[in-house]
Amino acid sequence: MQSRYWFWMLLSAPVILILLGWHMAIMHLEGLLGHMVSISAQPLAWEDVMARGRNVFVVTSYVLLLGAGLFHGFFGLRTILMEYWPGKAAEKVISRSCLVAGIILFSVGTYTTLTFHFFLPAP
Amino acid sequence: MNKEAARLGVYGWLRSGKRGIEGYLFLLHRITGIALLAFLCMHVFVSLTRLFGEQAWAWAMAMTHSVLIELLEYAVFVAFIFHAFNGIRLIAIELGFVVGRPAEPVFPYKGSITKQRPLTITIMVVAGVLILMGGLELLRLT
Repeated sequence: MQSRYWFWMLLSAPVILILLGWHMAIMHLEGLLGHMVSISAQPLAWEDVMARGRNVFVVTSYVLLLGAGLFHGFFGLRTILMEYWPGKAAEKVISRSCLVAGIILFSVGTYTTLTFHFFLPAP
Repeated sequence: MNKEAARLGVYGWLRSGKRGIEGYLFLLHRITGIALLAFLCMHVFVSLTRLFGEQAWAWAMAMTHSVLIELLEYAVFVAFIFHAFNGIRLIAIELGFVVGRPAEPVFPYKGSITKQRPLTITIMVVAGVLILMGGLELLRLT
């Protein structure tokens, strides 16, 4: 089971690298990359946020990035915490806490993204 | 269970010992990982303001227009670049690249760390260049 989690941990890394790299590039590096590729000059403007919210590719990538990021982050945090609180009982508490926090954050993030996509006000 | 890590506690992170540069990269990898996870948790809730309409979004974005927040944004960028590039190095080593072939130990012994060092330096130089380029953009130095 542990090695299966480790496999997913490794697999989530390139997913995050690509999707988060792309997300950071379009959200924060528009001045630097805008000369090379077409990037909005004001990615945080409401119109741009709405346009991205309508785009199925963007919405899918957000949900995928959120899932991969939360799994990678909480599995890493679990590993660190288990080094300092060893033992079966602590492992159970740490694992369940990380799982619950991950599920809550994934639910909130996915709800936001999908609600915005499907119930977006008309432009 | 890692008894040595448990005995040393977080203080153990600061003691690289014979691990050299890689030991400190391990420390930074953990710190940046925890920082990025904390940012992700906050980001999920900030993004939630979109659902309350344009005014709520404008209010949330107005809150981010300060020198402190812009510096923190850059810190997140630095953490991401470092964590990503150090992660590429770790995955390469995990999959058996750049650690050298198994061989009879012959004195003077050559550790695997020596073989990994060129990759470590190359990756950190590339990450450093990207961090500087991002700084020019995010801190509006261009």
